[in-house]
Amino acid sequence: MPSRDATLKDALFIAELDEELLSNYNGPHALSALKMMAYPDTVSLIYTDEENSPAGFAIIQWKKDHSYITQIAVKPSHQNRGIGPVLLEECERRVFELGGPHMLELHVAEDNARARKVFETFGFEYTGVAPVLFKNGVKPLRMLKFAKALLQSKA
Amino acid sequence: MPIRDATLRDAFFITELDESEFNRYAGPNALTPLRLMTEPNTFTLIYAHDDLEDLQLGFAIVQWKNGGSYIPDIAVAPTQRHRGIGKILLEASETKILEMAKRPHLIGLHVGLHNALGRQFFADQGFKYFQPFVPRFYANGEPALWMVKTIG
Repeated sequence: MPSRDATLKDALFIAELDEELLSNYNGPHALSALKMMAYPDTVSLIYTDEENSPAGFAIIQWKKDHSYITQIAVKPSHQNRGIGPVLLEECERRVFELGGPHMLELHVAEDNARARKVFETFGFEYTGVAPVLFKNGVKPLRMLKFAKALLQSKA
Repeated sequence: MPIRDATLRDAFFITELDESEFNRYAGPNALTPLRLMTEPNTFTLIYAHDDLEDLQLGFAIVQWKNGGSYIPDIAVAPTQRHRGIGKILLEASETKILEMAKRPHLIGLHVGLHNALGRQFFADQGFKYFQPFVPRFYANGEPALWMVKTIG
């Protein structure tokens, strides 16, 4: 499995990719991913490519029964290679390991068709609009998935 | 001693403190300490609260090399100064460098020419001025003094 826990040496990669891909929605915020990772009960994952270089990351805020994927991103040069689903699967596995059957939540920008497709294909379902808009005014759509489902189907 | 190796959870504290302390020298660039910490042969130490390991009070980034090491970044939270935290961070850095070098070793750092408090602090810790000073060392055009110390 080419995903592992992120370390301090990954902080630059995460901050840069976060800024590159997500600043359009939240403004320049190189520190936002770092802030997320500083919270207790946060799991940060890195996907490494065939050269062992970071190619994507996911940050999960773990809570009993209901966790939240605060950020997930793949380097533009590595997109369309199935890395997002691998990271999502690892997120699901981790929260299940930590807390058993589990609700997994994320917010996706209404105009981010590519990401929405990835999450839909992975089994996330829309449950409404999150209350706080992105800074650029785009609606964040709330998506949920019950983590146990995937694990059972794979058993 | 409340010193430990930095982890990913400390990255936010380090970048925030670096930004607040060194902004005027280097301009707004939150990624600078992250770049430093990502380089090979670099270690980062955290001084944390005695009872709360997650509460960081200061940090030091050290680039270790066989011939001599360099401290590109060291800072203590403004509310925690004058408690000897900077001294402890330096001593811990020196201890770790010596463990790796296993012989007398040269440590260098730059301090702003106009940073009187910083210059006094490093002089008190045994650092000596090493000429020449570096003109326009910082992005804002300020010069820096090169200070060195031999340990071991």
